[in-house]
Amino acid sequence: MRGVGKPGALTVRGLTKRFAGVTALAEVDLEVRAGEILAVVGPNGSGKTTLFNVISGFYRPTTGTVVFDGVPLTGKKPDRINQLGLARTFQQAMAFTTGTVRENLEIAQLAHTDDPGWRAELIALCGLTEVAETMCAGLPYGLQRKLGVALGLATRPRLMLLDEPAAGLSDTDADDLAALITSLPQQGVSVACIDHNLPFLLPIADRVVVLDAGRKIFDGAPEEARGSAAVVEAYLGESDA
Amino acid sequence: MSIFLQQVFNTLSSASVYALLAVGVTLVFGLTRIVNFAHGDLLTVGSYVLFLVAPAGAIWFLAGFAAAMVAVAVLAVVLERLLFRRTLVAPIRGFLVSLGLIQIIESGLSYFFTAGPRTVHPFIDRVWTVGGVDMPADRVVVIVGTAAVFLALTFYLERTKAGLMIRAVAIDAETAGLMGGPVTRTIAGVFALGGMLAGAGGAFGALLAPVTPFLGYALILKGFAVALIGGLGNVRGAMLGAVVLAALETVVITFGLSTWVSFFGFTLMIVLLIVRPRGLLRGVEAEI
Amino acid sequence: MRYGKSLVVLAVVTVLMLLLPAVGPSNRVLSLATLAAIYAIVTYGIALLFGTGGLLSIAHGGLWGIGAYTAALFAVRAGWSFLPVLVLSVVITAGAATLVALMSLRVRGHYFTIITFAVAEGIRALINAWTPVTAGTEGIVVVAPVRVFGFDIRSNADWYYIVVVSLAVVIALTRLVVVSRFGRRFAATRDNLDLAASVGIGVSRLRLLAFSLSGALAGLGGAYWAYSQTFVHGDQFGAAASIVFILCMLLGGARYTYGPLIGAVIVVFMPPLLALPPLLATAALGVVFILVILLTPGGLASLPERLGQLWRRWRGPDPRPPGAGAAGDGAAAAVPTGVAS
Ligand SMILES: Nc1ncnc2c1ncn2[C@@H]1O[C@H](COP(=O)(O)OP(=O)(O)O)[C@@H](O)[C@H]1O
Ligand SMILES: [Mg+2]
Repeated sequence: MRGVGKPGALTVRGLTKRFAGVTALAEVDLEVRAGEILAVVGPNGSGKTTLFNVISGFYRPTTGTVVFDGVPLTGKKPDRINQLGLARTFQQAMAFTTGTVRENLEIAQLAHTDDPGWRAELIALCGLTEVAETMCAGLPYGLQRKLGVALGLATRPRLMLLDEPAAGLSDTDADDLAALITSLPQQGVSVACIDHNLPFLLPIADRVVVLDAGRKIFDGAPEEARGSAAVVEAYLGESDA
Repeated sequence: MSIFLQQVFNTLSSASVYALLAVGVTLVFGLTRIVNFAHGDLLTVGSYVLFLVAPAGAIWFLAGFAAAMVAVAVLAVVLERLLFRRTLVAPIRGFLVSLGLIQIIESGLSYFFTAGPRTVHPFIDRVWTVGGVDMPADRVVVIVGTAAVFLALTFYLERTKAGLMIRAVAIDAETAGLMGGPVTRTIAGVFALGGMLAGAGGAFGALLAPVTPFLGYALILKGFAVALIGGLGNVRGAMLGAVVLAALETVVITFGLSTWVSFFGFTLMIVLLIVRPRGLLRGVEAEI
Repeated sequence: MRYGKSLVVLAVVTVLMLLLPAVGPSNRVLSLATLAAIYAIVTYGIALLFGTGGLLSIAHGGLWGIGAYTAALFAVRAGWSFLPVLVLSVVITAGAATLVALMSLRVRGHYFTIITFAVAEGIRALINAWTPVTAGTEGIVVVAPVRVFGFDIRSNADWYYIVVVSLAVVIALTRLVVVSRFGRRFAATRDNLDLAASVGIGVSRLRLLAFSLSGALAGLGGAYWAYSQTFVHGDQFGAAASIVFILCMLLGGARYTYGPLIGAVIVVFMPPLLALPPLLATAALGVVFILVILLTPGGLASLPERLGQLWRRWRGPDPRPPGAGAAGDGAAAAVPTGVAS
């Protein structure tokens, strides 16, 4: 295992994002504390991906601030934000299609210290050993998702944003992924994770934030989330898969 | 006042040709994401068909006009079948193919018809003066004819099944395809439609100014600017954009800056692309 | 290591090219060869953007006009000597390219290409309209004494040597860029722009730099064009010139070391060899262009590799997994994914 770094902490204040006609995020306040695993849940279209896109610099917020370990991220470009120690995955599985899995991890480190040891470790850690030399273009969907997580981790982040990492994974794969995510804080990586699969997400989460129509309607312990009337109405009652 | 009206009249006549060109560009782009720069040359081909069929005479002009529309529509469909269909997966290749077509069509036309300018004057010498505005017959024909063509087009797109299909494919080719819609036939149909409009534009354009084999290249840039102003994929936007561009040109020329017309045109185009890439009106999403 | 080896190959190729004047070619062949080398210099710039970064720029047909006019104006009107003029052309064109990149890289895909098209034609329109400086469509005759390191440059062969040596440097340089960390990052932006940014690759700065560099090559080619053709006028530049360069690039293969060179040689020598009337030669070029786009999207330089693949497939099942090296990587790049050294 790599040496233990210091996990990062994120503070989001009054975040609003409007698209023409749609308010995707409305005055969201939120924290990811150092060393915790935060679950972000909510129905489709509630603004979860938009939240990650704003935090990671892909969208500019309409108003509000994002601060990472004391450094304001608002207005910074995605690459700069990654350099500051924040990595993310995408809801649509993405990879550099022209290379193998191992080459993908090399590309992910092109803007960071080249670290073959960490790459090898990641390949094992993310369950990619069998396909390490396979071209990414032909990779099955579940493996592409794992590769997405590995690409983010290859940049040695202190905070990792995961957008539906378990979507399309088999139960065994999801269990492996859950184990991987659980181990991240000890390795110096805080986590914020979006997923619809609550039996996957809630057991590993330290805290849950629920979004509905761009508003934060719940912020608390996973056990309480299931009991909250507002949450049940907005989400849990609808699809408790 | 009459000077102003005169300018409006002149603006409308050149806007007619721009619109006939730009609507075809915008329709094809809307369905295929192909930027077809050879579309301007389709218009030139239309002019030359007119010269062949109807070198003189007002009645003959009608025959030439019809022939131009049919011939260019056929040519457009042939090009779609032979070339553009193979580039649908990577529309940028369609754009490149069209650059090659420009060279073939323009040098072909110069080879067969010489590079010199040609004109027709079927309605020569007839000029009506209404309220101090001089209205040469051929310009009136262009404006009225274009209006008629666009009325027919609007009816076709909004009232017929085939027209609705075109709009469905423009919005979402995959869904339209899944719904059992004959997407490939619709795409060929749109090339035909664009070709007809270009043929009409070529016949009308020949009434306004001398035509050379290289007219298409100069025109397509304007046609494209117009389509951009209106928002790529937006038919009404293209009609409006044509008026905007023609008016702008009239103004620049009135101020005696005619040598700078194209420079300002391109500058405007660049600014527009950066500031409002989807046009003043809304066009289709175009990532790649 | 591999770069070292390809340098040796390049040295051999360069020596072979430099031997051409020794076999006593006609003046016409020599000036065509010089022209091909000039086209190749500009094409290597375009190929760097397209082959590595997936950016199809049409601006270069205008940008090299800036290089050519800078050379013409400073050599003729200001009387500067050759090397300073060369440097100035490169610097000014690179600067202009940077401005173009700042504008055009804000939009993606098609829109990028269309903006660069407008830039190319805008530059042509500017040259034609700005008569007090550029003499408009009348053009400028470029006659200026040229001395390089104490040698007078007069004959066609002299120009050929200069341009070919520059070309060799350009090939070495662009190859170095492609295999460098910079080039690999740039390639990552072609593959997936958002993903590249998310792993910390500074996509904006990277693409800006690449565009400036390729603009510098257009400036160099433009300056050589002005000196060797001894006459510049607005209509030599613009999108039509870009089409010729893009033809060179696609014909040879944007992602191969010698692709642009092969393409430029064919584009320059094919019309006279066919001995067609000029108009038909242009049309023939258009036909070849379209055939190349539709049939060999990787360019002629990709043929050995593709034939090799066919041969292996014929001899036995392909050991590579499905999807590997499948031709046609979708939207942005019109080239297959195989990369040759
Ligand atoms: N780029 C965009 N342009 C316009 N609207 C967007 C864009 N991205 C997201 N939205 C809108 O914002 C809302 C939230 O979307 P999203 O964040 O993707 O939700 P979630 O990830 O929770 O399913 C939706 O209504 C969506 O349509
Ligand atoms: Mg989402």
